[in-house]
Amino acid sequence: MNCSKVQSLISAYVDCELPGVEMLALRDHLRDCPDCSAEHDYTLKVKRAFGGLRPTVPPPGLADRIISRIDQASHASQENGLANWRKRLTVFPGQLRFVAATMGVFAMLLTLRGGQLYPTIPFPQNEQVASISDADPGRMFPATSGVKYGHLVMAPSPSPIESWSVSSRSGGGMMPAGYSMPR
Amino acid sequence: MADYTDTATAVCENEDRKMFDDLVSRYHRQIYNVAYRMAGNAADAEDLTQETFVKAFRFFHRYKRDMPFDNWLYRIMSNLHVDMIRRRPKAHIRSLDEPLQFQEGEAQMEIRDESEGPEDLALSGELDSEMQKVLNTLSKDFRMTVILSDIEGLSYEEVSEAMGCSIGTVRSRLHRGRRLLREKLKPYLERS
Ligand SMILES: [Zn+2]
Repeated sequence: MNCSKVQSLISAYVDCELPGVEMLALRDHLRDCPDCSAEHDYTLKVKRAFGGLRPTVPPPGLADRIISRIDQASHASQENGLANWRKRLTVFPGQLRFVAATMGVFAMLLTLRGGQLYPTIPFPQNEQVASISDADPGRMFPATSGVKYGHLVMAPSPSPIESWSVSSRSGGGMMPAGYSMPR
Repeated sequence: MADYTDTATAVCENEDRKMFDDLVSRYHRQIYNVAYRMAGNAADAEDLTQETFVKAFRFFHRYKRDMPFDNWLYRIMSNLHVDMIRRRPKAHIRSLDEPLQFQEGEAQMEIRDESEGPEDLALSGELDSEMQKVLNTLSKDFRMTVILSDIEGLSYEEVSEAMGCSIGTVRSRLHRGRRLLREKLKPYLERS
């Protein structure tokens, strides 16, 4: 091994970070070569000088300040999380308002329609209505105009119709119990 | 309805947090020492230490437990923009010439070796600040490599892991870094 090769490896040699064969080769070379040996001594001095530096003592309360910085950071990330949710909810405020308005109008219409229709449901005389009333008496009632039986509409809750009196004999209609048909 | 603090996620987060606070108390001195050598003054060292821990907390879920925690912290620190932290305006910038003033001076004086004479103290203080000045002249990567290897005593493999580079790069940075340091420290090294 020549001097230039040895000098390129001296730093790793002082750290014992060379393969065994190279460590031995360098050791032999350093024993016989004053130039490389001087180089080795300087490198070792630098390493030892830095290794011998006193650890710098942190200022008092550093750990507490780090912990409170982390508190702030995690608090801020929670706030961000909330803000993101709010942001998501307000991404389409226009559409949401439109949907809400439409639903409101729809509900109002149903209420009005249901309220008016209830008392005046005419029922086809002497017709079998079991198929309708058996289906779900609490939720459905037959509608009127133009349609003989069918046209089922969702009942305008929240006042579910508790029972229906169905009479095909009397020629009456289908209505909630206790309700008298206006004449 | 159960409060958020009763949920499994919250309990895990709380446990992680407790564990992390313990790690802060255990490692902050060591990290501060490296930060001090990287930054060259106490105010920047504190900033760098805090940034390192805050970032470590944010990515704690990514920490692989087979890596020593201090090496992982070094890795985070080496990815932080030390030079940007150094440029931030500070309320009290401390001179590089007085690195020991901000560091619990009195406590440190008490634990000093009694056998050390005043001349030795002066010399070691002078050498310390001179070595710090010289360290500051190295580029960030060379500086970190020398600090981790020579001051913290990490192996080449550990340095390469902490700095995200090859072992060959560590070796060459140390070789060139030490040469630069040696030239600048020559008058001091020849005295010793
Ligand atoms: Zn030689």
